[in-house]
Amino acid sequence: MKTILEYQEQFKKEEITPLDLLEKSLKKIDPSLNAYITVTEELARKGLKKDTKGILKGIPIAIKDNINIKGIPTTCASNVLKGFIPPFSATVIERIQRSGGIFTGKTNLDEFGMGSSTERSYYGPTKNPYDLTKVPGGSSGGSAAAVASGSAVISLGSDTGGSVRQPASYCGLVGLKPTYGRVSRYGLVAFGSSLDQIGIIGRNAEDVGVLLEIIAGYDPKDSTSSQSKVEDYGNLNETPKNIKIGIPEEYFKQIDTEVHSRVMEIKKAIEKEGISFKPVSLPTTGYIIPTYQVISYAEASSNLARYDGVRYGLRKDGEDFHDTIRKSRNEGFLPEVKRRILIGSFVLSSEAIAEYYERADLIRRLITQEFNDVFKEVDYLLTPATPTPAFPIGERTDDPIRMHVPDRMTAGANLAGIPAVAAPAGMIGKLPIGYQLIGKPFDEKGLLSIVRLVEKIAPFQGFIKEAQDG
Amino acid sequence: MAEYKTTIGIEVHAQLKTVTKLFCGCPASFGEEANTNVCSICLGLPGVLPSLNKKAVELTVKAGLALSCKIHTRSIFARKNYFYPDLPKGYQITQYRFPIATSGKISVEGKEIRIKRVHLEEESAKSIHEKDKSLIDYNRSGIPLIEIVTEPDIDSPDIAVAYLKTLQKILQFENISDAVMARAEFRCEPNISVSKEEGILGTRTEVKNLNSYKAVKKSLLSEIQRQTETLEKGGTVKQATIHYSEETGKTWVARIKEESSDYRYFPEPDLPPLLISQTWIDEIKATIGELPVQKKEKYVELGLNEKDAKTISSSTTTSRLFEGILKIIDEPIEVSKWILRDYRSLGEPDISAENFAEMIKMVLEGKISRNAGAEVLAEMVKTKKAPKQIIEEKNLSQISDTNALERAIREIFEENPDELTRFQGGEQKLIGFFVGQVMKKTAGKADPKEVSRIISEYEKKY
Amino acid sequence: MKEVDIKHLSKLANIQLDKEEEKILQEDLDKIIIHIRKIQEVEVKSTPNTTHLSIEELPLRSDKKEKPLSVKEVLSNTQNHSKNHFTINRMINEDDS
Repeated sequence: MKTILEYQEQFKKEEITPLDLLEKSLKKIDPSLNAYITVTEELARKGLKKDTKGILKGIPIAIKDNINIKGIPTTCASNVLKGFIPPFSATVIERIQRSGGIFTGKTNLDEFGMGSSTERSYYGPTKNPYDLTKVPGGSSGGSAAAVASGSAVISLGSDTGGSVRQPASYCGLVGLKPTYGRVSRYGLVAFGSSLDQIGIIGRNAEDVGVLLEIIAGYDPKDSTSSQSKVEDYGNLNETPKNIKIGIPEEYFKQIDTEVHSRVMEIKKAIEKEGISFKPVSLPTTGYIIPTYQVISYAEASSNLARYDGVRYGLRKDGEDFHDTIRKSRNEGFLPEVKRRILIGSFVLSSEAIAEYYERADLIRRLITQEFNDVFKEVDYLLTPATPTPAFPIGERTDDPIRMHVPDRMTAGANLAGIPAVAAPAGMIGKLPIGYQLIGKPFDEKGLLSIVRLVEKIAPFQGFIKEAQDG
Repeated sequence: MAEYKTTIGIEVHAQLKTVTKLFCGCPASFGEEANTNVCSICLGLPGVLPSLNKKAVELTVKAGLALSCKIHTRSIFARKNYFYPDLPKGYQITQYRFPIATSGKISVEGKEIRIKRVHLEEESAKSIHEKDKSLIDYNRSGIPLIEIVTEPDIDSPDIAVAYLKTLQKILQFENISDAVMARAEFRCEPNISVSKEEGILGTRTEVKNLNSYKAVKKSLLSEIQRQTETLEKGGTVKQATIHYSEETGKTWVARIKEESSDYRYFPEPDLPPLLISQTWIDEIKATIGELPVQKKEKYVELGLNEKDAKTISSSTTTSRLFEGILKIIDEPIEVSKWILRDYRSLGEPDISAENFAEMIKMVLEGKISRNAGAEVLAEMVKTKKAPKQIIEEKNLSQISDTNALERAIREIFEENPDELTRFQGGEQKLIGFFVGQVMKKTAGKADPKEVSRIISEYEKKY
Repeated sequence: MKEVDIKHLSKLANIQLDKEEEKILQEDLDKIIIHIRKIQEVEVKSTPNTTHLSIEELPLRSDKKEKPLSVKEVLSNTQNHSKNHFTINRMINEDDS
């Protein structure tokens, strides 16, 4: 199991060719995992033939199926996008292609990114490579499963309330959600526009940093993308000096004791390196989930209004044009998406908007202010990435409330627009579990450097064998 | 039957004269083959994001300034959510609580109409209807529109039409919009109510689908009649959307607004706040010309009659000169006379406003006679010399000094004893004769008014 | 507290639900709203109206033409088209222009 830079070395030394690596990766695609909706072998082979020079040359990358690749179907794991083939690629895809990266396929997700288990997909659930009876997490479960099982070296996902970090935690991987605006959203199918970011799931911090450097940066097509300077995120050998890491007490309540232990082990390892910790408090933590629900559902209800079957996607003929659209949407969406659209419509409706949407917006500012304040005392926060390891498939599928429980750890960073990374803390039985670091705006380098440090002083031993070959 | 007062407010949508659409680089042109000016963004495909057209912002600011609005340095875009096949995203990006411009005004036939707001939004697609299906063309989808809303300050259909015509002219004159009604580039939706009671407005209805000024006038007249009749019969006017039929000339209720649509407005998360600097506003302001009809209204306010105001405002030369002179001397009616008579009879030649103003000033101060002034004007045009210089060279100073005039008058009296006797006997009309003689004697330099006054009082002394 | 009315919401959301679905979704929504109502507990004063968290300002695009999609590409994702137009059941003119 090599890093991206190590593969480049091997390619240079001709110890292995990019074609070898691609074919090995494709062979590892296990249909029973159901990590992929579309395998893009032909596109990948064509990509290899291109004469591009770049740090990603020949690296097989899996792409969550809510990010557009021109000429390849985008389904968002939904029947509503039946047959849809985008005539354009997302900006991140173009940047990866210019750097030589190739795509193994489009990975499974919870429909439109709405879920934490990758069970609510029109194409069926994805399984956790560590234990086929468990979920891989969601909504970027397919991307995590692809990398954990070795069919891709690294992958793109999207994170609206934790959808990159939580699957990374359940699958023993590093999952980064960048600062809001760090990575262009053009070509990412929108769910919660003020929360969404394209994220990266990989096997180690350096890989994640290398890919981040390629995809990050201002995009005129995305008016919310930042002009902030792109740093050398792949260069992680220097840990930030004189830093303090906070332990927010609210994030350590109602979690498995084993999870608590694993995260504390990470804390101890970091402390041994001379970095100090400080207990802190974030009292608004308890309001994160309902605030996240109101805002993300509201934005989703509006973002998903375009799926009417008129120009693309599923069309179910009705008696008149209103009827046709209503029928198409009813048949096209699975129950969770319908629930969220309905509630989203409710919280924006004229009778309810002041009490719900506008109120949630105010609370969001409080939550953000609280993070700003705590970052005056400390530079990073250490928390568990999820309260438990991967749960069984089917356990929460029909429970919309329980499904949100892991979001408590992760959605705060989305609400505040700040970067956060999940990385392996260790194993609980046969299942991996992750820790999370949250940082200040645009401090992805600092976050990844600490993860790199932990990799050196307390390396994760739980990688799956298949992923380790080659 | 009691007097019913009419109250009208108007909402106008005009397509902006930009090269590209509001949120994408597709050509914003008219009349091409269907779906040939469409991209992923204006088609509302999954994954697209809007990118705001700078020119559209500029033209909206310009419109706001031309309507004397306050331009907000910070404004917000919002989503207006509703479903319709011609609305690709299922929402329209528009402005809601924080538009680009508010609180303006416009003068229409001497009346001030307040402008509530001017904001920027995107156009929907176009649909054509056949017997069993509708066809949709997205060429129009995403074209920039400005929406201009008045306060309910219009009190008659005639003023409504006058307002629309003035607004249309302004938009065309300033190159903000071609504003051709027939091409649906300039759409108006008046709302109207009638009321018997002072200070209380009736329930208003909204008239849609108007394609000509004739339709505007007729539909409003018809609606006034319909509402008045309803109220006279003891009924109530319901809030509704009204359509107008060209054939029958009558309005009818198309849809009762019992349940108005819930648009669930919220700030557009894909577009941060629009910041417009004062510097940019000032740059745009410098590009605004004033429309002749606006100038006319201004001149009427200064005291000119309609006819004179219209004449002066209709030519750029006279209006510019008029305004230039008024900056120096504040005598609008006097100046207007000079421009309307003397200046125009000279053929509206090139002349500096400063010199012209100086000459008029000297006439008003009595330093030269009006006739002398006309001569100075002609000479200024010919030689481009300053008035003071011309007056000196031609010795045109008017004699206003009382002593000098009395001396000249006494001389005339001595030279004309018979006339003096007749004058002393009561022939008032001989004043004119004496004035004429004094003018001859002083080679036209005497101030005739003063001469006449002195002679009249002289007569009283005797 | 405002009640959630599934019939009204399905109209707003433009999703046609059958009676069975309505019943289930009404129950689901009622349960979820109880949790969401937690936000009513927090004390919030009105903060000055900044609607976006990011302090970035809106970048402006210059008014230059870009190549549109070909008609073929535009229509490529649907079977419902005729004479280069998208087609749908006859729309009742609301107030179209």
